[in-house]
Amino acid sequence: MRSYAARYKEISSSIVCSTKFGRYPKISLEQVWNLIESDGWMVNFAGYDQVVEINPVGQGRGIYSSVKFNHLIAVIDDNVYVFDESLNKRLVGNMTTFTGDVFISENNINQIAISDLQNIYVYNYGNETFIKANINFTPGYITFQNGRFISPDTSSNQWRLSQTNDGSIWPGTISDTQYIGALQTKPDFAMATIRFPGRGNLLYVMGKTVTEPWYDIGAQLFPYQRSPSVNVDYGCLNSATIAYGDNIICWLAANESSGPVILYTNGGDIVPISTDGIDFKLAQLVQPENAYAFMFKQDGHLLYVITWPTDNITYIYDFNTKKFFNISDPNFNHHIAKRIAFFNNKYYFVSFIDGNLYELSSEILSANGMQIPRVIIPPTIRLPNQGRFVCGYTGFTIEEGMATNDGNPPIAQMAMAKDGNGNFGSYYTKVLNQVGQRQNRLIWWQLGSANDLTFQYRFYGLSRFVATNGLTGIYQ
Amino acid sequence: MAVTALQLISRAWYLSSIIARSFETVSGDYATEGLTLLNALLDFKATDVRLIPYYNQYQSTFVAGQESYFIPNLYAVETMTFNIGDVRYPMTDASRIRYFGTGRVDNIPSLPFQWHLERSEGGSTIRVYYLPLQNYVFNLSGKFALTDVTLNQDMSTIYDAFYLEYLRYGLAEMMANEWDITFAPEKKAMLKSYEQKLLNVSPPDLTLNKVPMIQDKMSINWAQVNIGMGWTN
Repeated sequence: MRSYAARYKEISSSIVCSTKFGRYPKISLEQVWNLIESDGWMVNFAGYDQVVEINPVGQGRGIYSSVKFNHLIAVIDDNVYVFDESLNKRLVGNMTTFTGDVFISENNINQIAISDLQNIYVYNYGNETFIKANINFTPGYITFQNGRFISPDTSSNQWRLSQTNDGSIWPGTISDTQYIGALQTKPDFAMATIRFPGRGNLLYVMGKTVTEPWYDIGAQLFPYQRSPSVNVDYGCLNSATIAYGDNIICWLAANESSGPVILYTNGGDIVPISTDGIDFKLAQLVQPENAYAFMFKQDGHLLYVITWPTDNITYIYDFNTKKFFNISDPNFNHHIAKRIAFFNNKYYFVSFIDGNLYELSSEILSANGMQIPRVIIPPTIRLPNQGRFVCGYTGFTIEEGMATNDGNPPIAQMAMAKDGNGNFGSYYTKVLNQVGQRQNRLIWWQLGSANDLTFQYRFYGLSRFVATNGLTGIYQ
Repeated sequence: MAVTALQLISRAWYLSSIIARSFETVSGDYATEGLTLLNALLDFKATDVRLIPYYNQYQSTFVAGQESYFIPNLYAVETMTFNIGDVRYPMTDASRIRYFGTGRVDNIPSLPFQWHLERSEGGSTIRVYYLPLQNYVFNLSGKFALTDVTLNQDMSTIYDAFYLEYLRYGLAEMMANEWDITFAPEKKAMLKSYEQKLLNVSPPDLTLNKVPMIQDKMSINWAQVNIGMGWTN
């Protein structure tokens, strides 16, 4: 037994952390990839499996779960498919565009409206018709509220209402003032209209630089009335980043005096959630406007997932723990999920990489059969006096013995950066126990000296990873 | 098995806890700094010859009429003899006080039966009395300096494995001191135990050698030297 306890000062190994890196590496390198925090433990972020092959060389554009229809609607390329509970697919219509974002909503009379930012298509599953609505505006993020579809006119500051209980009719002449609203607070273009979850008749109308709350008060001439005292002085950089869940809306915001920032609101004040480091990262993006986001719940955690495909990065924000994490594909590229829908008690998504349908679940421990790299970079260890210290060991509690004996055991790797700039050295690999061998201690010994020490842990395998804080022993 | 100085230095860095075993390799400044410290450690053994494990034999020649002889890297002498032909004659060690501080007749060329060692820079100076009458081959058994090494030098050809292990601990302690890091107490204790053991590897021969003036076997005395010139008994 090593007699280390007396000599070493033991500090937390801070395995339970998040993506909270600083503006510069010296400030903080703290990151977590493909893991999230749950009850003070790090657990695997959901994996995914392909469940329906539709078009391997196609592109997923949108997905929607219809509660009334009890079908899943997915747009792949120009094709609109519906899926039953057994995920049997059926082509119901074609659009005139092959690429670009689509937004989907439904009403109570069997109509599902699909906006491809050029047209609005209405699929009626009651009579199996698929038509292109006759509109005289450029549609955007479409929503449904109180019997009407609502869409922004992205070429102006107007937003439009469909005829009540008929999404195929969008009155739009000058005399049709009861169907046309407008952003009023600032000169702007309308980007999105969103029915606010959990807030009754509240509708958020988003422009590029401002967001206005409107209430459906059932007025005769025009049913909506703008809140006279409140607005959000941020618009939306890309309506594809708008996502809602529980009673909050989250989006990638910007205005005329601010760069990209991730905000959320519960209908009251806005709350910026991005950290200094992430805001700085957003400011460095080549195409910050090329972003997609969705919100979903993983085992009770409300997660906002935002991806910048051009800049090749995906972050998730956990509203429960109020922490950011990175997620990725098996090769540390951005995550492949583009749009998600909850259907038949499962999450399904369409992807950036192909035109197939995938299931997302924390029960799935791989990325379509491939290992998901899981990385933890805890906070850097420094002393206030900047003094050099010896690190004798670091370790933490981890679950082992859950992997199947398939000859490919899970591994944990550790590397260190001692220069304060994230230049990590070689990895020391430890093979983790396989099924039945649950007793373990995971410790790396004799770690040298430094005055600025950052660990990086990597976990590879097709089993789950569950770890919590341990101790790191240092002395001077 | 060959053990290069670089290997010894690397293992000392790991032992000092300054460099991470299994994560970092020793090269560049750490290698050269380690070599500097290793050679300093080897050099410093001159201050405590008890920790030099080996006695070496040295042979040279007394020159007629010359009292002093500088021998490089020599730090301690235990025995000295000189030869006349095939016959070896013992010499006796004289303390500094006895050699320099007692009465004697200088400048007597005869057989050099007495020697005295004084440390000098880079070695030692041996003085003999009487002044050698003629040139005599002499032999001494003593401890010599541990010579400096180079990074790729195989130290296993110079030192035993146990001594290399001792050097590793000693070097690690120097490294920790140099880096202002506490050398772990248990490692320090190990170093001390190594040092204690090393003292017994080649201890001085403390056998008592009495030279009585009255005995049945006559010892060499002044009269014999002058009259018998070493050939009497």
